[in-house]
Amino acid sequence: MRKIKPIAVVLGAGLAIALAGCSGTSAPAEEGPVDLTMTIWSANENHLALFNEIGEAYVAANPETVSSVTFETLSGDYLTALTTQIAGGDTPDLAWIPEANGKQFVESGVLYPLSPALEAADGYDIGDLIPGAMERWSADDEVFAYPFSNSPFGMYVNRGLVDAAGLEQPSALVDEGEWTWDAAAEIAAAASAQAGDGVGPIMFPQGNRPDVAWDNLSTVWTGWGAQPWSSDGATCEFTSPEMSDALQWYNDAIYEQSAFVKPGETFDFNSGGAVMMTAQLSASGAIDPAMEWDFLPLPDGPAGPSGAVGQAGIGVIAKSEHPEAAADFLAYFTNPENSAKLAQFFPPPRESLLTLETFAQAAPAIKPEDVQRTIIDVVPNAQIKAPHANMSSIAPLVQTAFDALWMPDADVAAVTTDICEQITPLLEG
Amino acid sequence: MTSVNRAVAAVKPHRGGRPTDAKSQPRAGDPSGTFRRQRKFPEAHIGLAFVSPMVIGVIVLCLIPFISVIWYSLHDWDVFTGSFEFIGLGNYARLVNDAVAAKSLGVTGLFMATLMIVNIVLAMLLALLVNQRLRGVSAFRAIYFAPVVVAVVAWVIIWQFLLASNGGINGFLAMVGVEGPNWLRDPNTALYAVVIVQVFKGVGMNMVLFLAALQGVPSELKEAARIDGASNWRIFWSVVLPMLSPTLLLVMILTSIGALDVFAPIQVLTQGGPSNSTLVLSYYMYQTAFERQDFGYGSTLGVVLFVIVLALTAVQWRLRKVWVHDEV
Repeated sequence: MRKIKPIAVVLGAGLAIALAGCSGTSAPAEEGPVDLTMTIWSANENHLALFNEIGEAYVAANPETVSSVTFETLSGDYLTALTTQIAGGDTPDLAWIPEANGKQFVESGVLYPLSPALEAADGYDIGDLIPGAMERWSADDEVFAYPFSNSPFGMYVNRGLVDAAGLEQPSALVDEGEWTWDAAAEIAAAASAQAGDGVGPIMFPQGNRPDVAWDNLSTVWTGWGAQPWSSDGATCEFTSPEMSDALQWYNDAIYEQSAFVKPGETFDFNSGGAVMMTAQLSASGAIDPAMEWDFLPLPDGPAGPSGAVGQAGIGVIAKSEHPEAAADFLAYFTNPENSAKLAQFFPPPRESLLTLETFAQAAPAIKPEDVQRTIIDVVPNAQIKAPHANMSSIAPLVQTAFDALWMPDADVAAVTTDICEQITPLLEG
Repeated sequence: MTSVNRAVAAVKPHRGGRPTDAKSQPRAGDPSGTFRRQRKFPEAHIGLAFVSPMVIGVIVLCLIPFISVIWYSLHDWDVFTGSFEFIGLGNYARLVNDAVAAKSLGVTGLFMATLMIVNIVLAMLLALLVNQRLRGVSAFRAIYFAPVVVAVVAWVIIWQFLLASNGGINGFLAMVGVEGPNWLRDPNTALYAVVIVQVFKGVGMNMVLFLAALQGVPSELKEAARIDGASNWRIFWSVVLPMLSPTLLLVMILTSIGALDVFAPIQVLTQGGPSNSTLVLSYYMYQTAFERQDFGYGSTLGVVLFVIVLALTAVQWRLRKVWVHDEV
């Protein structure tokens, strides 16, 4: 018994430590200046340099409250890493939040209310924020996160490959009002075929491919007027005629027309290895400067424009040890002056900053006419990818069911019916 | 006690392995045994000091997390709301009706069986090959072993490019007029593609183990069999293979455990897809706990995986008496 006791004590203490991870209790706030940590998913050196510049300026202006701001890139699956940190009690003070899970974060009480800090910040001008952009991040007239990136998806076009195929430039089609998904598919397939092996048609960036991140197909199906579920989130709409038509078109475009890169294929637009790429403003930084390219609005579908906006929010985690200091930093990080700086990578949700002047300074590589028609004209009215409060449970089921779509002559009706059967209990729950 | 029992008791070690001999008796002039205890305790303390880092490491890094996982498996844990509710065996009841878990078990079994067969057969063949006294054979041994020391994620990413439908393997097949499949996106080929990646990653280690065992087979036995007229195959089957059986058992246990806890290749290459065709239990556990933030049910899957590994290892260990030649 005497031999067992010490082991039992060690085990008991260890178990207590392990279980403490579930309780999520925070230590009392410390006196004096605090260290703040913000988790992000970007490892881009230019992004980090800008964030650090803003963070250092804040610390210099508020030495009595904050001693440092650290931007921590979480590798791998960002949401997985973040929720694991929260579950384990190693909670960051602030965090980027993917749009797909924004509603889940807001409604589950993970986030600290921001309205008092934003209203108290000098020159913040809450009225300047675009209401549609803030909708997902608010509840009961309270703001819980700030959508620092409000970035429309657009179509990057390699002008050289289109010219080499002797085809009309998509930018001209935009001017003529003829820029449709059918036209884009036709041009991409022909230019890719003309260029030969090693050059793909229309692609998504590696992590955004619909076969690994299904909700990026919203860039296509919004043009058909489709949405995955009703606006209240309670009814599955994958089986709607609009969605079925959009998915059937996409499957045909991949396998019959060879207009989209097939799942399993790899190409690189940035070095001239694809005719077009569906992506956001932030992707422009990686494109070979020697390449001639356009950044155009997404093509129109049968139901009209395919305006799809991808958002990313910043919130203060309610379990943070320093939520007030974190909220004050967030107000500084996203004030009009810093939003203008961030605009070079992340279009802000501020009416006053959606101007050619802002983007001429922030993203000079993009032509002014492209900024106007692809970003400024699109942001106020674009659809944000469908949110749901139960997204973590729904998304993997849809992803798996979509696997049956990635083959020639896929049975679209069977796929969409399967999805609705699987997710309906979760939508209702 | 009979005289025979008394004789056996005199030579039989006590529980704990210390024989009842003169050394363990109290010294003359020390009827209380104090002298013996004084020597014994410092020795025990020194022994404990030597093993304590390992014991503490096992307790902190293995035992406590394992007990915690069992505890978590009895709870419904919502990371978002922070709720941690005791539900008894609710997660285990849910497991019984989980069709995905059933499919995952089947996938895991198929993956493990395929990996073990291909890996062990290939490792044995390679070991026989590089056991020959040929010029340059050391270079081949190094080449076959090299993947073992490559970082697993780097290895898998290279294979991701090779297995892409427009990647190196299909490019090679196209050169000889064959249209290759979409290896990682076809439910019929994805699992076997992952098996191949795993086999080439780990076969070098098994080859080295078999090679060491082969070099320990006495040449006299093979020579005697040859004089008796045995063919090469007969010598391998009846002489060499039985001598390799302890190593074969070790390789089977290591390979099966490795197959059951495979993760990085699945994560990088297929994420469990397409259509759950590569959703092995370890990945389903990760997906459930960390992607769906369902930590309670994910812990339940972890406990099940542990029980499977334990049972499988126990069965293999018991079987050693049947087919490992020097076990009694």
